[in-house]
Amino acid sequence: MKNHELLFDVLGEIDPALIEEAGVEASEDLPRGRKRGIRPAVLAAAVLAVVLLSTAAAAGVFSGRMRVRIYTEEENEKLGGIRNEVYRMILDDWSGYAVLPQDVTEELRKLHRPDPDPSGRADTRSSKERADAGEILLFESWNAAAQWLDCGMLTHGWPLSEYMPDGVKVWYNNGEGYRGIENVGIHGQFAAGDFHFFLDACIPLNEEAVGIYNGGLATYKAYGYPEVVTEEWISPQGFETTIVTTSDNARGGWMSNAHFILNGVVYRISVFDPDFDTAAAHVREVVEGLA
Amino acid sequence: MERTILEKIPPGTDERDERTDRGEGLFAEDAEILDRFFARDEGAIGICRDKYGGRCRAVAENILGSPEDAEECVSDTWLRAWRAIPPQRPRFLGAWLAAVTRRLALDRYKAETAEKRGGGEIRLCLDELADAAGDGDPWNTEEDARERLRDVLNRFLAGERPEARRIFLRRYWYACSVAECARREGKSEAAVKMSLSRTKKRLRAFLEKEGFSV
Repeated sequence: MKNHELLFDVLGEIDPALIEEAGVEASEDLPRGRKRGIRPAVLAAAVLAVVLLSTAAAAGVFSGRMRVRIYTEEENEKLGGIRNEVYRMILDDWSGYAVLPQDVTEELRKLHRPDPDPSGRADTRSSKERADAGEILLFESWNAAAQWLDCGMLTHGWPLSEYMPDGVKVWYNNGEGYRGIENVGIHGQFAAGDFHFFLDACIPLNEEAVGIYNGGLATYKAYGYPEVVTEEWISPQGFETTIVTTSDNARGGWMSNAHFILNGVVYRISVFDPDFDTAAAHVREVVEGLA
Repeated sequence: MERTILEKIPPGTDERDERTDRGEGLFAEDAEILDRFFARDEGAIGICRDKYGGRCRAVAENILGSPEDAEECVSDTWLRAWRAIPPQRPRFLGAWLAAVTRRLALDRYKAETAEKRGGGEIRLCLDELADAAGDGDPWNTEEDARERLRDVLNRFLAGERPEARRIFLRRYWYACSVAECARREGKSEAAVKMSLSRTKKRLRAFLEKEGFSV
């Protein structure tokens, strides 16, 4: 084998983190943004879901879809050994967190049914089919979700991003290792001029949970981001904010995350940009635009 | 042990990945996919296909220049993954799968070259890498050459600027064409060629400093 052939060959064995950083997809797999509309049948199913889910919610305010999955502790174990005290709910994409008044817990319990595919990965149904089955619930805007939650949530006027295919999501989570449902949250992606941002808000339902969510900075480090830069910042509105900017090797840039707690609600705003300073500036811009 | 909300949102696995329109497999966390492999759940393969099929197909097609051959390599990749996991538990599943595909594609390329067919970008890549490798004494006569070379490459690439490193790896790891590298970086082809040329020059000097004859 010639030297340059050996070089090419051995390149295949280098640190996977470097390969991940330079990752490429086939051309036909590049992002194709589109915004899905919400069909009337879906809305009808969603309204039914809301009635089931929350006696506190005003159905007239709500529009959207939500998929609800409730797992017993046995099913949780099948998912990877996490054994919850009661049960947990995971909505739609496994990453959201949630807001839920304690008084709907029994209603949620009633929704439970055995799931032959608890991870949901083998579920090939379309979103519409899930919505028709009353399993999906989404809001068309952040403000609609905040209004439904009725908890004095900060709002804003930015439109949904074209990359947010489903709308603003509401999540419920009981917190691993904790009894009962601990928090409720909403998650959305929005367009702000020439950039996008993510907005998450979690409403912990007790003081213990507030402490849990407020301890997130160490987690960034625990995840092993190559670079984590933190900065304390007070916004013009007076929000005491911690900005955590992490390198995002997969996309070659920086994710700047602003964290603050206001009226018991934990907020996180995230902006990605190839440039560190731009990401950090955009995230401040979004915080300043909250009302 | 206390857990935080952020612990449940691993990097790059939630909707912060903008490729949300391509199917639910994209949302799957690698840890969950690996759990499925360990549970011998064949659904793991479908998720891998959703999430990493495009990347694997790209590298195979770049090396082989044939969509049909590339598809076969990608199918073989899922089979290899099924056999290897467990016991293996890759730290970066996507990179691990792409590396398996690259190896399979290179093996196929070598077989096809022996039969006077096949090609794609790889011939050009090999020619270009000769600039960095030089024409000194053969390296592979040394017993530990492969291991040493891997170590040198890791150290060299870790010290490169991210942009130069990305371009280099897209060209010589993923075997993307210069035009494709330029498109992905938002640069001209001339700028990409210049970057590659400079990186190879630095690599050559680095190799020489580390005792490789160039």
